[in-house]
Amino acid sequence: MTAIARGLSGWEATTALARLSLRRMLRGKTLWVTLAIGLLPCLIAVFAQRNQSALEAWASTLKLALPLIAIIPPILVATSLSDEIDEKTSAYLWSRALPRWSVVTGKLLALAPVAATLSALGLLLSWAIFGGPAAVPAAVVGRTLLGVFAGGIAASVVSAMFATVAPRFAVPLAIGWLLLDSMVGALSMNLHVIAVSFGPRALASGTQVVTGVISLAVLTAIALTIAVRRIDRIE
Amino acid sequence: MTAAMVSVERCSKWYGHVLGVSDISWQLTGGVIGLLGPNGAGKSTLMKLMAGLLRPSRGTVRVMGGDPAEDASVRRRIGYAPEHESTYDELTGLELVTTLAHLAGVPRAQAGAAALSALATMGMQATMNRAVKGYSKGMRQRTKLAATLAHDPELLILDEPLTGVDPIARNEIIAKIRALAAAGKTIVVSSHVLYEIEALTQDIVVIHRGQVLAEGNIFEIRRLIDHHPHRIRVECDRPRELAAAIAGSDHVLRVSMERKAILVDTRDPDRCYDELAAAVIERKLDLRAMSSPDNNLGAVFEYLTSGQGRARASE
Repeated sequence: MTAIARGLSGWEATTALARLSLRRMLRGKTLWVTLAIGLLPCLIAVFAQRNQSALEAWASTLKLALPLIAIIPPILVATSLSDEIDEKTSAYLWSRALPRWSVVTGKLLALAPVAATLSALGLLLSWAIFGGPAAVPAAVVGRTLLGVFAGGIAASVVSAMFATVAPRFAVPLAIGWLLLDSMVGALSMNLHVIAVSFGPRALASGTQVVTGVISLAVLTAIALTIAVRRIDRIE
Repeated sequence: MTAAMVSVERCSKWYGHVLGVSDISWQLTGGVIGLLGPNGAGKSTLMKLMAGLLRPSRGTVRVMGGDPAEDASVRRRIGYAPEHESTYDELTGLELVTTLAHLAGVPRAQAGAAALSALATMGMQATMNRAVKGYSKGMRQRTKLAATLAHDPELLILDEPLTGVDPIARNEIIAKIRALAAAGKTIVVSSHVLYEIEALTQDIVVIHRGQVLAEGNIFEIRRLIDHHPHRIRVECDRPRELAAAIAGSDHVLRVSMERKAILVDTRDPDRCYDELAAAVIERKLDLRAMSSPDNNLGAVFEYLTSGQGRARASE
């Protein structure tokens, strides 16, 4: 053995763990389960377009697609992080020369974009089913997809937070919390700004866009801070 | 005076209300040291404290002068192999060791070569491109050891590295660990089976109920354990055939049958393991598991925890 270990920077550790997480995800079943869930809006789209105008069908599909933010990120992100802790593979990571927070950031770097993309994929395909720009304006669809993607990223960070707070029950807790959140986000009172689901709704509707973006950014930052602090204390 | 590689000062660790280790003080300057104790004695907790996985509830743990839980530069000089089998089963052996070498601080461009070298040292070249999920216990243990070595650490902490492996793999792993010690590595190895530790080192620390019970040369403990036959449980496809093959040996005190296994009580574990391995190979038996229950060691610990035993062990 001639390799000289020199320690990894936080960024090097994050990217190394992201590569590991991606490789594991691609060889596991979770990706395919979440892909199947992500495609559910297409089924609704096929039925909705028979009875409704394209715009009405788009609105119906969006109603189903938004709760997917509460399901896909927990399955992908919370499972990956909580399994690491629960199945004790974390021992390999904690004993290595890397900052513990990089385990959270590495998982998120790899899995959050996938979770967000899968959350938005069904909507994008539904738009194609409806007939594309001729049926629903591209600007509306673009805004909506951006909102769902951003919501998927925020929900991934919330899922990571639950995985560090209660690893054994992370997935049901994260799904339960985010479903409750989706109800709060739909309220017409100001309380809705504390919900992750408010941001995607604001972006999709084109109203309160700035408030929605700030809300998402603040909620994501809070969840990330809790996750990073908690992972440092896990034994 | 030689600087301590590991220095544990009045260290205690609680998991909530459960005690892991209690007020342990201990120093290690080098060589191979065996941590011996029954399951739940606190060996794994002590090893995790040394590897930086846990922070002490009270007291201090210093490794090479630094705090392993806080200082990443200390951890990169440590190789830790956990007791459990869980690993990244989706990866191949080579991918696993390469990734863990890189995470231990080996530059990405060199991690592959470091992993290849470590896997070759552990005799895993032939199977390193297979997924870990298809590995036997022995292959998993050897891959774990390769991952522990790949970043060329100065201190190796091996938690029960021989648990569950077959006699052939066991002998190979013992030879590899001995070779590493001869190459100058400091090694801390744990087991609940005296015989396994004996094959690796003469210097032992006996841990029981979270405390260091005795420390020093293995011979006194060995003399005590000779009064308590060593028991080996072997699971295979034709247990009666294996029982017949081993029953005539003079060191075998008793062979009892279970449904798919035999229990052998022996006065000479070395010979017994060798003869079992030979019988398995000669008769082409399908060996499923081999373990050594720690009942015999338990009796010795009971003796040691008595006043008389304490006095003799500390002589």
